[in-house]
Amino acid sequence: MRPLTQYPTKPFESWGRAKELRRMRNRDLWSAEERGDVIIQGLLLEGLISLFSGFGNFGDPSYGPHYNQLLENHEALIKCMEVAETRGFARDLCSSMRCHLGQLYMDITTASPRGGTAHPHFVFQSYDCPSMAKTGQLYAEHLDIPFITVDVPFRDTAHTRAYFVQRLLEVIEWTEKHTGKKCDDEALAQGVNNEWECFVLWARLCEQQKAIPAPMDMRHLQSLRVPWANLRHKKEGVEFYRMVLDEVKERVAQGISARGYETARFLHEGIPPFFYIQILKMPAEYGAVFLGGNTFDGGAWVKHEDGTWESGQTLEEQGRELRTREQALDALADLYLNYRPHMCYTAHRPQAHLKRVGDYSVDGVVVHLDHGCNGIQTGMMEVKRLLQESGVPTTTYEGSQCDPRDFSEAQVRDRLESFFEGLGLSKVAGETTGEGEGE
Amino acid sequence: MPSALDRFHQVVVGRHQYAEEWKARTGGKVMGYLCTYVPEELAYAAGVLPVRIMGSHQPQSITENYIFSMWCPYCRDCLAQGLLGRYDYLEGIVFAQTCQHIRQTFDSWVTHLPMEFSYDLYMPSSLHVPLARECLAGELQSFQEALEGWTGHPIAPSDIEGAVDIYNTNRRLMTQVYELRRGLTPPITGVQAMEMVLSSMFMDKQEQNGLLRQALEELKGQPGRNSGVRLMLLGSENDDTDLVGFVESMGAQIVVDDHCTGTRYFWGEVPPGDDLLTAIAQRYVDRPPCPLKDLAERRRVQHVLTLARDYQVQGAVMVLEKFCDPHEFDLPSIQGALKEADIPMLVLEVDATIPAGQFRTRIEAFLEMIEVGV
Ligand code: SF4
Ligand code: SF4
Repeated sequence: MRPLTQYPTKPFESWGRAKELRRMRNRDLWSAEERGDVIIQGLLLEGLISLFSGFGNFGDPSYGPHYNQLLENHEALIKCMEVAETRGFARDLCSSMRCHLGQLYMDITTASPRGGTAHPHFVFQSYDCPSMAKTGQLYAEHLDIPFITVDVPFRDTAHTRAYFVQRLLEVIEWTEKHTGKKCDDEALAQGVNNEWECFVLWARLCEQQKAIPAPMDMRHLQSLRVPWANLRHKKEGVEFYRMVLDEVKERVAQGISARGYETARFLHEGIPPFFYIQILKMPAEYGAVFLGGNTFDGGAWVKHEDGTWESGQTLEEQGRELRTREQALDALADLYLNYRPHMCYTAHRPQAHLKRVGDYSVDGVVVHLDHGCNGIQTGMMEVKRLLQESGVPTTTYEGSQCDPRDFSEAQVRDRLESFFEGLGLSKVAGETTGEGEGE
Repeated sequence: MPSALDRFHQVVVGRHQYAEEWKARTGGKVMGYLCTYVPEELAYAAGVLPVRIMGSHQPQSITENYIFSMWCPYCRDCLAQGLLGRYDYLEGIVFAQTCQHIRQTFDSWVTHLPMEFSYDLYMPSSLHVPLARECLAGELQSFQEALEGWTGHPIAPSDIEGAVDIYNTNRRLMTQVYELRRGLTPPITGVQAMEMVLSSMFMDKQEQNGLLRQALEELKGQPGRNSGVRLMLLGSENDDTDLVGFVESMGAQIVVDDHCTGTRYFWGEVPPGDDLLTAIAQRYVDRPPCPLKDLAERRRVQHVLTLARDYQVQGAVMVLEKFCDPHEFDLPSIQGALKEADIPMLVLEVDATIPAGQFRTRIEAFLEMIEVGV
């Protein structure tokens, strides 16, 4: 592995702004009804958020404060799972979706922290992953509100593009019909521009991880991704990521590290267990870092034949101006069909992940095999196989992103410790995780 | 001459031999496919024999490095057959986008068993919107071009018309056989019906049409038998004739199903239309959907209830492949609808590679409950 060199580190300055944004988002969300804005129930963070930018300051309660509280309260989280299971949903279904269903059936999702209940106008779900689409359908049925979904083709051809863009147009018209509000096309174009730019900025942020030492680790990336999830269609989201990218470039220039040491550089592939997110800091006990993994999926990437992912260009850099609704939706289609890694179409992933190992000077890979996920999880065993066959030290651990019953802390720690120690790493004395924490 | 039903059975157990003999006889190419949304008629129009890839129901560990063990055993079993060399006669493979599990089979197959031809067909999911048909028609056009490139000759409109005609006839004849099961004394068992549909997935349809006509002749006027509680089968991919036979041996008769090895495969014909590809697309949009294509009005629930009524079903058995997310998501809705219609349902969580004997007690109790009208 790498020598035990001490690098400087410091807290993220952007972190304060991220917290402000989180508060702003929550405030806006729970006052949407008072303001007369649209409330959309969905899991919007996964896809097509800017599609609704023409409808003002809309709110989506899916990942509200309840969700974060649940992740910290295992008992409550398990209760969610059990409620979904009592309704007949199998224990091996996607744990994230069972968590959402449990919240739904317990009336948690729409319960405002200010008291009362939010009343979503409809459910929108982009069909990136089948589990999400089916969950969206169940939400609509339970809340007795209309449902609309858009499937995201995995190939960009004349007919898939026409289908996708036409469907996006339909969603706008449908939303107008169901909310009685007119879509402001200028705002839509601005939202699409913003979403595009956030995707590009995120990819560039990830590329900074090529630096040695890496300026962030995956825990930082995970936290910094929160505004990406729900504000990337807004100017505040763009401003935030411009600021973060500047800061991270500055860290690289000054040789500021994520956590003080970098005895090894690892990737964590697969969605981490959110209720045990500290796993992302585990390499730090050995002076090592997780550079990233599935967090890279939030970027706009040009995917080269050899597996290289290179950050794309913003619409402005491409010289593309959005003047009409059609142009805006075509640009959005371009982002989702060509630049954003498709969640479920993963045939290219083994090669891309192998290339990433070289491009980011990676010493080993940890793959999370999630018991319920059949979206992003697709192809994970092939990723593992190709990496191992190519001589990249790779291990797996079984777990779940949302169901603590499917995760054994002791076993997983034991497995990862053996992996790290097998690579010649040993625990680093003293506190290596405090500085540069940022979360 | 063996009866048609015997011949269906022979083809099911000798599916690989059938394909190899077909190849030797015709000099044609054989193409495997992994989901019933693959528009087979286009391959047939190109002179290719489409055969559905299926598992063997035997325990295996050969897929361990490729597919996570918590993915559906069926999709692993299918890949295992390829890795074990049982499909070495295939020259091509096609997948139509549906479930991620079987997508993984396709992705791993093309990685480890490269073939002359592989095609990943984009099958839209929002089938309830009119645009889906146009998109699928465009995709069929691309598929047709790919087939032409592979086989080295153009597919004429008359070839497609001929193939559609043969496929429609096949669907119509199988529907007619199914209709014989509506009566109180069906002349055909659930196992035989399943073998009929399965053999259609492996055979040259024109040849199978001859056998289907023969079957209708043979079954006509047969007294049939009333052999117990009338059940319908629902759920995941299920080609386990042992399981079906086992249920039937316990005082039940399977009279209908909503399986992709049953009605979901052959229900509904390609409608007449000036544009052939659009007409084919229409058929795949309209056929009884799989859960992942049923995102608006729950057409599946309606389809299941209609079948249950038309076939005088007394109970339903949901055969749920372990880890089968699509059907697990639909389970509560289907169960609820059947309950409202006073049709009890038994859920059997199966592993394609584990024998059915373990379910004896539960099936017995279920049938007893129906018989005493609890
Ligand atoms: S990608 Fe995986 S974890 Fe995410 S919703 Fe789909 S199945 Fe669930
Ligand atoms: S639908 Fe179910 S049985 Fe069929 S491949 Fe998918 S998971 Fe397996």
